[in-house]
Amino acid sequence: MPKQHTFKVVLLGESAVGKSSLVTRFVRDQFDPYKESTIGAAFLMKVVPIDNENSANLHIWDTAGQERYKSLAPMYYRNAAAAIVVYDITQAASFERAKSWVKELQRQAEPGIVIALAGNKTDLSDRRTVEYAQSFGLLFFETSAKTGDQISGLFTELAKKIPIAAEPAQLQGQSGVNLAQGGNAAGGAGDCAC
Amino acid sequence: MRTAAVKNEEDDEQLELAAIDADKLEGLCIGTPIYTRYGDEAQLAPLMSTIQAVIASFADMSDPIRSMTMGGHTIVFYTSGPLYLMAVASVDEPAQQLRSELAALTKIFEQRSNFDLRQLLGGTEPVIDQLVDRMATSFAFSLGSLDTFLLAARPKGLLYAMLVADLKLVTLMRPRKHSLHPSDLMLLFNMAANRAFLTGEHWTPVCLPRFNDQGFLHVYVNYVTPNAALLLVSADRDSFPAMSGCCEAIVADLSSDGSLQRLEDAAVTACIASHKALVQNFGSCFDDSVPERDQMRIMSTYKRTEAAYDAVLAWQSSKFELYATVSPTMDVRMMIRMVNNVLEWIRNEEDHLFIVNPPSY
Repeated sequence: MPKQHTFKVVLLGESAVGKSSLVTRFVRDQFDPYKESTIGAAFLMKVVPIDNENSANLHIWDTAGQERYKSLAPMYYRNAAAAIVVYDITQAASFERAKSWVKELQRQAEPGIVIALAGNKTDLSDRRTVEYAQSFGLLFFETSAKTGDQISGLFTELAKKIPIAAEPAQLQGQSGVNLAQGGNAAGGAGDCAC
Repeated sequence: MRTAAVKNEEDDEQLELAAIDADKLEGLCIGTPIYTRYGDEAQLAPLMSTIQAVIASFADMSDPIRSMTMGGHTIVFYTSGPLYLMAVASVDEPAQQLRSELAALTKIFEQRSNFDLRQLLGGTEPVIDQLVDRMATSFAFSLGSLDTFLLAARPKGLLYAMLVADLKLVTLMRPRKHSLHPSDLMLLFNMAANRAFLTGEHWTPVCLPRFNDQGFLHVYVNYVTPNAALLLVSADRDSFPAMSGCCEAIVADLSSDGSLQRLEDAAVTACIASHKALVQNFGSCFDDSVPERDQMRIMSTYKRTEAAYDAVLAWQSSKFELYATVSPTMDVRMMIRMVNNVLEWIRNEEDHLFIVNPPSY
């Protein structure tokens, strides 16, 4: 029985690039072409083997991509061991957005965070507008949630890259309950984006 | 209420619902369509300017326009700060009801006025569409109280815990001193009914305007069965792990699914009772044999009855409101006897039909 390590993974990226579809394909091996926009964030778990002795229990936060949720992102990427920044290879703007997410993560997330860049929708490569991206030294995959192409590769490689020491000391019961930590105060007045 | 785009002239039993964001700061009447129930709001610009011209010409007279009747259509206006809302209905629905529906909608729209609301609303169109559709067919919105289900469990949770099945409140746990306003709960239920929540656990901030319109609460949503969602409301945005654990415990607790008793009397086509003190409704669902068109008509009749007219049996007392529709061939004495039976049954079963004593802490 391999030793199981729990890691928090967050998905970020422009809306409609396929974050939820990517996760759904990975966790449930399902695909819904008419998926509705995520509200807030969804939480899913899946265990992936790392090597003979270890496996990773990925606690995945699939966030909503709309601009209005941007200020909530720190709440989801805080204490994350890894992040997957997703863009749509047919939407150049989503790639620009992905780059700014990567910068934000490098600046504000946990210093050792492992970042993967995923160009999704390779099934639409005839409408490609983003060329095979430079990976900026990040883990890089081009994926298709629709066909399943490279999805498990992405998550497995990501899990292997996370240093085992990145596992939080008290596991999930405490994915950060310190109120003082987040950028803006919890339930802050005037923060309402509903 | 029938609804749809004005452009659709042929189908005149429809209604259009639109909101315009007028730029008051510049004093200009150039508005931006924000949301329309039917069609694409961007294509409605010419209509919007007409609406604004109409509203503006009445505003000058310091007597804002409220509604107008044109042929078979009733047009209702509602203005709230920079937002103009308009509803067009061709079914003879009372203007008052339409206004209250529009007023409920502004709760979503009115948060901030000086930037493009459309961006904020991005992705929520299905939620708003749902809300509007529901207002047309649900008693809850028109009675301002909640549909209930049968009481099932006593969960432990943080601020509020509720089990919602098919938009009906199954059980609610709340702090002793703070109850949630029905309109907030309806917003919550409506949101939770979104298909995006169907799989997995979700954690999202929400603003419940009647609770506190200046801040967020955080909601844990998990569909524990395909139709029933557990909603846990917390003030602490970092309490997801606690909520998740709590949900697990509750699901383990709810070993058997309680069977639902429904009020189904063959002769009573539809009946709805509203408990005023508890702001809860209990009602038979429309039988599938009643065509949707008739459901709409009956709803509309109920709404008019609420404003005190004729037709179906309506009974208002200090404790309850009861609306019943019976087969038109039934004689009055028979009808009254039957309604009395129904009432007695409701009184006897009050503890089961309504959530009389929600567990509090």
